[in-house]
Amino acid sequence: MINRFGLSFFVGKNSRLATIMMLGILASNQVSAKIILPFDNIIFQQNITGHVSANSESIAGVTITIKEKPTVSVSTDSNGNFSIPAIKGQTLIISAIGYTTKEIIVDGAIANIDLSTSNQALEEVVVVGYGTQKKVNLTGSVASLDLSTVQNRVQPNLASAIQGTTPGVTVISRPGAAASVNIRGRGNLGASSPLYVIDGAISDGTVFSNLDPNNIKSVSFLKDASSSAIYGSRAAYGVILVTTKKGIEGKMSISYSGYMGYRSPTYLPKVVNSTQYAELMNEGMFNRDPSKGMNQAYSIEQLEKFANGSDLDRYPNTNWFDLALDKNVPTTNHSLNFSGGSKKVNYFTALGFNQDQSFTPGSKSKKYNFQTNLSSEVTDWLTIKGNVNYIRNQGDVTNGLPSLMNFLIAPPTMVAKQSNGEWGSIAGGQLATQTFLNANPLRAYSKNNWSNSTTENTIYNLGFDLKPIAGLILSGQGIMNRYEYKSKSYVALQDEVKNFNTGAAIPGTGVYTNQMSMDWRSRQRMQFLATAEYSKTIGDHDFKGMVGTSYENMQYQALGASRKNFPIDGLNDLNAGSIAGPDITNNGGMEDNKLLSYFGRINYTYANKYLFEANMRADASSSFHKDNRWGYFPSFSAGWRLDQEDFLRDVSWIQNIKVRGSWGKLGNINNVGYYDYFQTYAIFPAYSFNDQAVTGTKESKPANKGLTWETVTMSNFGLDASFFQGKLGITADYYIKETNDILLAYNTPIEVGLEKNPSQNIGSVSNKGLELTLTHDNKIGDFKYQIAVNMTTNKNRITNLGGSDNMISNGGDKIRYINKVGEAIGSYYGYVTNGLYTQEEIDAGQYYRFGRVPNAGDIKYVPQREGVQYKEEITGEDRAIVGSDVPTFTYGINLNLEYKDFFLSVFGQGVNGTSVGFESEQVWALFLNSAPREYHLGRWNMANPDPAAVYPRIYGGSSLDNYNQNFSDFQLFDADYFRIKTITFGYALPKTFANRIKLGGAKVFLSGENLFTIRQDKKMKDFDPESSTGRGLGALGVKSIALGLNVNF
Amino acid sequence: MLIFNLLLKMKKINYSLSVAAGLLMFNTSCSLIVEPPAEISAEGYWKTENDAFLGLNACYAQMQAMDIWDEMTTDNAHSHKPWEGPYELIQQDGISTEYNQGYGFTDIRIFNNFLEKVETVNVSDELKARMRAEVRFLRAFSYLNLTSKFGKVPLITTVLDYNGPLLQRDDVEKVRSFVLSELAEVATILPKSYNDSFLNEKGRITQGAAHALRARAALYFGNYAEAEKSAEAVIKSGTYNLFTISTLNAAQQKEAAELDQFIDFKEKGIDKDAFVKGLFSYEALWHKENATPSNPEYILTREFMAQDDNVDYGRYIYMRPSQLIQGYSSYEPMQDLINAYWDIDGHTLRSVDQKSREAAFAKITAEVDGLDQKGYIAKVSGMNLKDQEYIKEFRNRDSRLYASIIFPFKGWHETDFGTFYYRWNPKLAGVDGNESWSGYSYRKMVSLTPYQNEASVEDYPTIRYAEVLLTYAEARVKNAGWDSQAQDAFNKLRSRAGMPKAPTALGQPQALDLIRNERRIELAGEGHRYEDIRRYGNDYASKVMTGATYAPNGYLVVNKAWSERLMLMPIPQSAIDLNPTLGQDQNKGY
Repeated sequence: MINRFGLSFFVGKNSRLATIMMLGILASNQVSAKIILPFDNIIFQQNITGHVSANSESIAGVTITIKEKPTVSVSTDSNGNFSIPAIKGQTLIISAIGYTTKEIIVDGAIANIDLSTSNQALEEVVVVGYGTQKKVNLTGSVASLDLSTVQNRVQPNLASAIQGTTPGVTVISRPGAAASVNIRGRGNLGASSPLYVIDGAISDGTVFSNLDPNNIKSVSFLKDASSSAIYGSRAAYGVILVTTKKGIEGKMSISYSGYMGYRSPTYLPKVVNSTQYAELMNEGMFNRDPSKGMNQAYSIEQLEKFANGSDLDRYPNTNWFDLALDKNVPTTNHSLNFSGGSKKVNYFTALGFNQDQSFTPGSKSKKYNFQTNLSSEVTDWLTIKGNVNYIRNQGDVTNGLPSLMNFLIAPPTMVAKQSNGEWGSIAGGQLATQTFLNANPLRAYSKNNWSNSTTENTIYNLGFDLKPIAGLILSGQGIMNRYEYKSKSYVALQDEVKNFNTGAAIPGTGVYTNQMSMDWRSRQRMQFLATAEYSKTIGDHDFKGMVGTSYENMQYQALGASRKNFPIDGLNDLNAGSIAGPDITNNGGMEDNKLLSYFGRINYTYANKYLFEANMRADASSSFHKDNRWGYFPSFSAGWRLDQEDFLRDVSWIQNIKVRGSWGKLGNINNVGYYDYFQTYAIFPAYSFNDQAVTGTKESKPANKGLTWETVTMSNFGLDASFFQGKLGITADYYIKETNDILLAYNTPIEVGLEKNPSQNIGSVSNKGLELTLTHDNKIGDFKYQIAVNMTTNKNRITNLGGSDNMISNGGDKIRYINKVGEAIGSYYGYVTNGLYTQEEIDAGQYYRFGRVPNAGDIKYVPQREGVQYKEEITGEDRAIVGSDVPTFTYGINLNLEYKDFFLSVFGQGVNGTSVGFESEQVWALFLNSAPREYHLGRWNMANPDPAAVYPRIYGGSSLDNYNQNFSDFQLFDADYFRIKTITFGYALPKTFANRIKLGGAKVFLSGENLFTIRQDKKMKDFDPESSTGRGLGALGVKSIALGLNVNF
Repeated sequence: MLIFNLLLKMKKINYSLSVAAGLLMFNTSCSLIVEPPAEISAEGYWKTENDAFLGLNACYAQMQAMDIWDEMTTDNAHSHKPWEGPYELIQQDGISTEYNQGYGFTDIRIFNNFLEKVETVNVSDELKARMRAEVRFLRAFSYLNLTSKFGKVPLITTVLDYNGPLLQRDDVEKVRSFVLSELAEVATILPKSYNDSFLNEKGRITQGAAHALRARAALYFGNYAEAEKSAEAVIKSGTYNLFTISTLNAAQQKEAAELDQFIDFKEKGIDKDAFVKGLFSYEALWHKENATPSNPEYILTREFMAQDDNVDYGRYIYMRPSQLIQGYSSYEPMQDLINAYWDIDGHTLRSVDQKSREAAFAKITAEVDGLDQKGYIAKVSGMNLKDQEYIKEFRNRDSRLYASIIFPFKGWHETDFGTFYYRWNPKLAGVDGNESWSGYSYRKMVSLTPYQNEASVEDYPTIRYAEVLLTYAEARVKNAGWDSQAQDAFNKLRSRAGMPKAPTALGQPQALDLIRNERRIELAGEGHRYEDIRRYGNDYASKVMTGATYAPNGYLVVNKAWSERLMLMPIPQSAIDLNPTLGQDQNKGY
């Protein structure tokens, strides 16, 4: 009886352990209780103590089990030591995630075990949708982030930090903009962003970007249909799964990492000096009206004064970027975590702080990360887990802040402060214009304005695991994901600028009305999740099944208010402002969205050789009419581990070869508005009768009751291989991704009169791509190195636009994109040019008219129609696809070198086949009062009548310039680059020494970001190649250098 | 032990099963119903009187206000800011299909939607017909603007499906007769005035507005018989009058005193009181308490009020020179227009040689060089402007010149910042973005009632009686010659302006020249010049739109150029991209 009872208990326990092992639930969770039952033979028991290490580093959390008594299991502490009650002759199983399991026979009281020889890749476990999977058993395309590439970096933004690390994951990290992540090409014509899931909580890119890399255990990129179909209607553009760290049984371990350093701009606009400015102004006016000579704006005497600096009040030479920008601003980051646990309870608690200053003084951003993960095994069949993840972003501005554009508008011919201490009022000898006076960046800093904002993202995550019978795990999770944004800002009164010549205040240069504004936005996503998982092994057959359901409700609310006319500046409460009608504003906002889902997965493995998986998800969304609400997303995949076959098993240089294939269907709901299927009338403040406001109602976007998901069908073929004891690793994937039913704002003729075009499921896009990662690890004596190269090509083609071909959209004021069947998304659509006209061509009548007749030095637009004669008009038919803003080839190179206690890691990333389009201040000299730059000095002019000049004839920002501003390839600049994203050099304290001073480990490092860039553009040069298309100079690219420290206690 | 274990097992199984079942049931029972929180569902809408009121308000929101932008494509005005619109491009014959000069139909859709949907509203047939007439008026107005710019345009009177067939442009004649017949019809439905109750607010579109707009349309179309007929209907209704003031406020009196520097009242035999009141009547009709639908000259009013959503920026910051707070000088009158203001005799035109003007201007500017603003005011207010060579050009001119244009050294005391003498800095022409580059700034229509220092709250007369009188005079001359009826209408304007009556004996061409120039003066800045130079014919347009215009210091404001294609604007490429059939039917020359 007793035996049977004991046996059955053991079997249950054992298979549960096995299940967990197979599922590969994280090491921290894997450590189970050591249960010493009364009927164990205590007499023969002795304690074996030992130490587990790999590559001469102690490993914590390694599971040691007695093979003959699987219930007896311990794990190593933070110093890698363990103690287990075993008897001589028994076998210890030493297993740890990422290492090959080892068995040793107990023959003494001490056992020291080295796990170094194992091949990590084989045992690696990756997190997949609603579970985990051994990497070798994966049949889908899942990439996991090597976290060492993002820690030790002076890059607080995680999305920017993963740029280039993972093939197939394209991160566009524009200066100033949130990094956008795209997996496997743009599939639709709207947003193609992946789904972010953090510890099971549906989240977003912003939260992901703000996570502290030190708190993350793993990041998985689910790239193909098979791996992401379990997320159904939101998985069309892949899924990014984040798992945060958990505590490990053992004494408390404290770990600190931090850095302090400096950030500076990668590129600054190189503006001309005041003499050049005056000369360009003169030249512009001359080109417009030659009869008045070369000195219409500035006389020769004035030019001399600029050059000799004899009258700096009136003829200065100001470089606003030098004067008013902090080019070196401190950056600091601290991250501290405590983790550990007892047998039943484990914990991980982390605090993080990051502070950055902006290059414009007075503006600071801070980030706080608080996280705590607790897990408690209440009974052997019930585990309760609770996580709280809180991220607070804070922005504080203590003064007025000039826009970066003002640095281009304030001219070099004006001083910031006159010699009498008053603000600059004279530009080039004349009273400066209001535009210039008000653009003075230094004066902007002097304002008593202030603003502060906080963005809080909190994920509350409560869950339990029930294990009622062997192999079955029931899990429940309740998640509340809250976003709250609050801002308060104040515009203070400001005195007028005084005219330096007369001392009189200049009307219009002050701020006459003060104003305070408050803004509050809140979004909460309530999520309930239940899964049941069962696994069973019968001989060579391994089965695993999972079913689940989830319900989500997203609610958004916003409130804004402002008041004007505060009696004095310096008050902090909105209530102090005037309550007169026009002085008060308020506004609101509200949204509600729901999603109900069922999903399931089946895995089957035969003899560890043949792997099969099937997934299914059904989603119903409140965004659709009830007749079209349900969507079904199946996927299937299979893998074959060739290395397990007899004919390869004994080939010593092959460690792993697996081929895999998958097919599946996914959905995309992101481009559907929450209420698009309702036909509605919008309410707006329309008009007034007798000074009484009246409201109006007008038809909103036409409803489409038939709206449905965009569907993505993806096939994936992959190969994972590892040769020569890990010296060469290969992962390759080829995918075909067809997106159908793409929601398009139907090309509606202007005559129809719609303000917003209706959405239709009409488009199709195909993406085909190859992803390749090669790794090479080696060790020569004390010198260890690792090289990893990854590359991605993606070929994107629009295959159908539902009869709405040639959809042209704005990329700015003049910049246009086209969506055209057979072409890629992100294609620039503009005029084709061939250099500049020469005087001879104009004189010979060899020109085309475009609005006006061109002059020598104007851009030569080339007709794309057949048979266009000289002097005829260039028309819209002469436009063509002139470039693309989406790279066709992206690559990353990762190099890690170690010599004794020193290490150097270099990570570079590059893109090919892309260009950036600029307009307005960023590219047109003197247009919109902008200051020209060195780029414009290369212009065509009488002295340099070069038809290949980088910039055409200038007309001083007048309407004659308009001819040259028609969007063409002349405005496109090569944006290909290769950039050393990060370079880190460090020293790690020798283990033994660290231990002697009671440290688990310590290292110091020097790390730099974006320090070196090789770029293709040879035309404009003074912009960051990662800049976004458009007017430019909204933000500056950042490089940084910092000294960092990591310590474990 | 076994029993305990079994119990344990059962407990955990039961427990687990019930938890699992509970979760499953909870999720399944969750509702997926949401309602749009900020918009009205179309189902059940268009039933009540209030529904119709709200829909009608949206239509009024489409009504045109100030129309100065078209003026800047003509010889009257200029904008030196190419980023604000292709005005100078048009003046230089440089417009291309990359620009859209007003080809749009969103207002037409709002009107058509109202006309269709209001049918189901539960109000009296009479009220329904009237509301429809208001909207039909607005639709006809939009079509008048469309056909003036583009000639042929698709005539749309229904709410179109977004994926319906591509439309072709309809013949000009079809569009024109639609505009005329609609306006004729709504004139029979609309009331003469409203009693100012709910749905009968005073500022609504009246019968007079329908006649007046029809007169404008017929004149633009060259249909003088209908123009005369409709204008006559407005005049004969007795509802409207030119606005006049009877007393001067302090600021006006101050300026009136200074006018002796500019007008030789005695020598020229001008009644100073009439002239001064004429000047300020003309100026004040756009201002303050006069800017309401109650103004007898306002036939159609675009109402504004002190509220962010319903103010007019154009008449405040965009029109003002930088010397008046917040001014952008985005719209600037040009020398060509200055030249058009009559001599005080009311029929001769002046011309000053540009070189002499430049010399005279340089001389007077030297006298105030280096003065601060205070010193400048002190100096100019005490200056003997009368004898300044430069000022001679501005002496003894039409009263409306002083009310419409601020020229260098002229004082203006009624601004919202008090006394102002215009100080134009010639060195900033072509350099400073917020200074006029033509040497002149607008005074006419520039609002004196600011909202938050940046916008105007004054109502705007979209159609005013003066235009109707001019339309009548012109059409009458075309139909019957310079007879007493034409002269009566014409002289009403002269009488209000305090200017001499027109000569009585004129041949038809001379009378037309007189009226055309009077029209240019009286309606300056109100947008009519765009249509006028075109309807006077290609030869006329070519004449006035060729050649350079300079600022008083010789700065080239614009080198005007004309070709016949400019009679119409191009159908914009952005429209052709969405409706390629338009590309085969582009206006000539584009």
